[in-house]
Amino acid sequence: MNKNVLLVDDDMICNFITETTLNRLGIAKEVHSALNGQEALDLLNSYFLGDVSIPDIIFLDLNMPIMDGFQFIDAFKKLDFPKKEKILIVILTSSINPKDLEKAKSLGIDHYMTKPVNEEKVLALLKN
Amino acid sequence: MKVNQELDRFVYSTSHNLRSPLMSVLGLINISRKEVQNKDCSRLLEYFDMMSTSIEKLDHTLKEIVDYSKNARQDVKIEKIDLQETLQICLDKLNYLEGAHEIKKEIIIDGGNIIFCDPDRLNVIFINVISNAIKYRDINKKNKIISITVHTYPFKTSITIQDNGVGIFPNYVDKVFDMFYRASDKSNGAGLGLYIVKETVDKLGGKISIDSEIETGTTVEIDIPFGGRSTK
Repeated sequence: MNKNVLLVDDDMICNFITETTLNRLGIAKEVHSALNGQEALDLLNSYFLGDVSIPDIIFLDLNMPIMDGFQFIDAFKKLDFPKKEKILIVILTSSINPKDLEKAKSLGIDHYMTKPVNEEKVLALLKN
Repeated sequence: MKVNQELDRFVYSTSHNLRSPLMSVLGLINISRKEVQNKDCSRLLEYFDMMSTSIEKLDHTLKEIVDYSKNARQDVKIEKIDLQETLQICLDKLNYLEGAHEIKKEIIIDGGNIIFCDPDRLNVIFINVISNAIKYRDINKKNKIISITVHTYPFKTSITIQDNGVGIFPNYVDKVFDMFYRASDKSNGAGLGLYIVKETVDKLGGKISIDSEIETGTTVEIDIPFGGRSTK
């Protein structure tokens, strides 16, 4: 499927698991990681500069230091970004707080997965 | 109502911080299983190392929760404390941390080595603050140092723990004592460490403040009334 992927999680091991799983499925083309929302925004700015490819999918954790997942979504929405609406944001979290799911929905994020990343769910998501 | 909301927040945040490393271990088991099924065991040791890291993270969070609970529930217990010995034991305990050996540590005690305080609570304060100073050392500095200065007065003990680490951004300094607040990706706990320190100092009737400058370092100042009780 050759997707460019951006992984945003302060847990590097989680980013590793997601990347390995996507590679196993043959989905990932170019994978970049950010340890918090601010780093992810900085990476998106470097996409503008053409340093790296624009991501097709962003796997986003919610609970992160410096800038959390919800703050990232707010900031992302304000970005003026070519083909921004084509980027799929998937929340990937350990949270079992139903309020997080509600908040994600209220921010217009429909794709919500609990960790660890699940091959079947990823495949189902990309088929749709 | 407020208590319930705070309890909810505590339960969900804690469960998240406990689940997160557990889910990493589960993810690593899933990857390992698939690779073993494909007769590829070349990376298993690497995965075991990552599992160990995640389990240590989980253990760290559990210890933070126990410290928090102990401080909230246990009465203050005053004992005679040898400051030099207590600080040295704390430094020895933290010597296993990555980078601890690279840092020069100095202990300066002025005005008497014996105080009367709660030894368990004093340990919690020292361990948390000094471990932060080690964890957030500036790897670019050749001469890394943690300086612990204690002045004992007739009615209080003043402790200053100063490092020349990476420092904290000014907009985060006010928040570092908040529950579950993490100012850095390097934080491997639940963001409870300095919150517990603040709660512990409060329980002893003391005061704590933090001053930090990026690339210069961080200074934590703690005043504990004599006998670990509020003078108010």
